[in-house]
Amino acid sequence: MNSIEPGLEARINEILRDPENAKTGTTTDDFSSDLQSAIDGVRNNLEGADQAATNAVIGTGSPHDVMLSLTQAELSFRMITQVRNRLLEAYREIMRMQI
Amino acid sequence: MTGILGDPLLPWLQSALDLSYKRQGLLNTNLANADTPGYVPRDLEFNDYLTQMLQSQSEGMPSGPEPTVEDRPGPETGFDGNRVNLDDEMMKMAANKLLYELVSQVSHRKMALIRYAIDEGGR
Amino acid sequence: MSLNVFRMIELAGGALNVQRTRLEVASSNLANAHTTRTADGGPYQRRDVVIRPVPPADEFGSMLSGEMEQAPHGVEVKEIVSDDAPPRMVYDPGHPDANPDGYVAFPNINSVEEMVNMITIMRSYQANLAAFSSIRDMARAAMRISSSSV
Repeated sequence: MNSIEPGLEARINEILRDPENAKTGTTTDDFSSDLQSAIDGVRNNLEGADQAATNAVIGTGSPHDVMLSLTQAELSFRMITQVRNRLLEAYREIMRMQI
Repeated sequence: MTGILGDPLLPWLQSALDLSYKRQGLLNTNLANADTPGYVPRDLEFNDYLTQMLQSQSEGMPSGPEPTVEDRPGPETGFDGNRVNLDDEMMKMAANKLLYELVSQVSHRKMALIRYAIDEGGR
Repeated sequence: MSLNVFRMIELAGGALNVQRTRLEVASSNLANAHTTRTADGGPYQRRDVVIRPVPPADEFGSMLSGEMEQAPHGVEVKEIVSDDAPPRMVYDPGHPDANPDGYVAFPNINSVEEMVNMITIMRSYQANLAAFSSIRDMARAAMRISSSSV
């Protein structure tokens, strides 16, 4: 079970399947904007988590708000780390094949 | 708030927790005012809203109007206008607390599962 | 959502204080049901506790965020008043506190009523204790959401 956003996963698979034709160009333009919005999403989640943690100390907000925000921030951060790892893998594959 | 996680259940869990938490506040206030003259107990009904939210999500439609706080007077005791029935309020409170704890547990499992998928699914 | 754990705990705590005060007054009434002479002279006067709602501490903040309706409001003791019902006159010329006509003024207290009163107060007290437990248990359940164990 893999919960990386379907669009991203499709792009990564495209690159892996046919690395010779996976040049920088239209495909990767879409991919980089997908990646950018994913990163923005992670940043929003992290900021939301900061806010929730502050709220918890001040005394506004409910206990589940804090925990859900923190956990979602953690998970989306983990996810983007995995995406980065896969990108690195894909890059190395491509580099190996160009010998 | 889900963004990259993209799981449709998470907003629903958030709503369920928000609503039952709000309701618990109302029920606790009712109990605190069990003897206040003129006090009328209040409540928040959200079962239909949550059910409909699940259906709307699968059909891609927006969910209905949000639940509102309403008065729920118990029987008149004839003394000072207080309308709180202690037993009713306590039962409602116990049931609602259980709901919150249950949804919390579900949220926990969901998060743990996603975490596992992210960590292990990368292989 | 400013309906938070600490406010709810204060709410329950305030209610518990109110019920405790009511209990003290009721048990004082019960204990003095037959007190015909107090330090001030005259029979014991039955007392009552008047309670009133208390708006949440940062009322202004709640109003700004439009949550006045949903902010929990607690209770407090407004005052303890003396019941000004006339004393119960009992004919007993041999009693040390009898008046010239042979009547003794007893407090206008019905012991059975006061005992029932105390039982009701205890129930309200326990209900608010349960309210407090529910807040604590719910917060704990929420805190487990982020735990790593599956």
